[in-house]
Amino acid sequence: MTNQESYRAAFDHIKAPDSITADRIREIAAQRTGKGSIMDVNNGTFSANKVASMDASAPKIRRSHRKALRALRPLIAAAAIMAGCGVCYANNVGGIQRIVQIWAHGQMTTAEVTITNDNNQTGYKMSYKDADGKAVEVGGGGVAYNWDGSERPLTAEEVLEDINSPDVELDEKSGRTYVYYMDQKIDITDKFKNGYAYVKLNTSDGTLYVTVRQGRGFAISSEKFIMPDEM
Amino acid sequence: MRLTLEDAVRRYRNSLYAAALSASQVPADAEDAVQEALIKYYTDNREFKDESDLKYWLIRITVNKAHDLRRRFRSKGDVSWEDYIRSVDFETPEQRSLAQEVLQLPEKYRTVIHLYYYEGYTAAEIAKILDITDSSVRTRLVRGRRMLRNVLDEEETGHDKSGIIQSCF
Repeated sequence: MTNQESYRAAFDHIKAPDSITADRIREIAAQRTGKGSIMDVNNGTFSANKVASMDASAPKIRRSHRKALRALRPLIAAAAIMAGCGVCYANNVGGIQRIVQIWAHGQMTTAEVTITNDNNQTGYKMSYKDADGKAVEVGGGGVAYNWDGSERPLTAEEVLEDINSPDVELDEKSGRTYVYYMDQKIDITDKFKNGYAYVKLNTSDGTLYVTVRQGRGFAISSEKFIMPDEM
Repeated sequence: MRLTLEDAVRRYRNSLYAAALSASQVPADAEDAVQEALIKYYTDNREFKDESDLKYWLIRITVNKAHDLRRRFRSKGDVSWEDYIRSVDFETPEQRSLAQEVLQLPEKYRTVIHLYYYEGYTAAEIAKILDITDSSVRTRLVRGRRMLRNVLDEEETGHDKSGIIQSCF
């Protein structure tokens, strides 16, 4: 038996989960393109400021804020854990390099953000000094989804908006999960039920609903809690 | 050509999942990557030259999605690749060892190794999938296979299309 035959014989036993079905793919695609019930504009899943096409005169493109976040977050992940970066907010907008004020675990500091676009995916690198004066670098990137389900790069403003949004972190030492927003830190470790916790944040721009999937990520909406089957 | 979504899912879900698992090492991320690739197939409506062209496109999307889907944090409840492999019903202990050895390689080696040995792609084809150079693919193949010397034969000829493997082992 050749190496290739041996390899294939072993990996032929790796099977996709039963949850990957054509019906499930159609269902998710319908949700993203607005053809399903969850993303129906009339349901008001997303707020007006997040859904450009709710205005008939606006371009026929709807940015799914939740999906954009979800796509962006995972790439932020590895570096953010290293950085311990909490919540940040933009101080100025425009150009490729931005200076932003960020909240890092409740401490405000100045950071430099460089936004790049590569292979239709918007990415960023952000550097700042933490409370101990130690240089920290974090990065991320992602895409947003159009009406038709196709992807497009995030705009610089969307990246900054995401940097500005609430953040969830697992403290691996203590095993506790925290939601960070500006100078607020909420321990939600004991709030999980069936793997999900729901956190309502009152911000200067209104209420944000954060759904946290235990250990697996989170989704944010300004309208309602994103339900597990929508994540 | 296009396949119906049912046919695409039925024919490729397992190989896409194996590729995604090799790329991400995390069963949950692999599942998400396959799902994302199939959603893209369903919503893109693009035509393909033939089935191999379609599969190549799906593999490319899946592997790159798997790389992108590194999670922000993980739960102790998440299934690790080690636990997943322990749950797989392999025919022989050697097959389990091979899967374990491959999945514990550094990411840049295991993806290349999988695409080469399982999917049978050439170095040039793998280079396009991963958006790296041919020479990087060849280097990774050489080093990856060297790391797998305990589970793969030292000497092999006959199927190598990379143009370098046979001279290195």
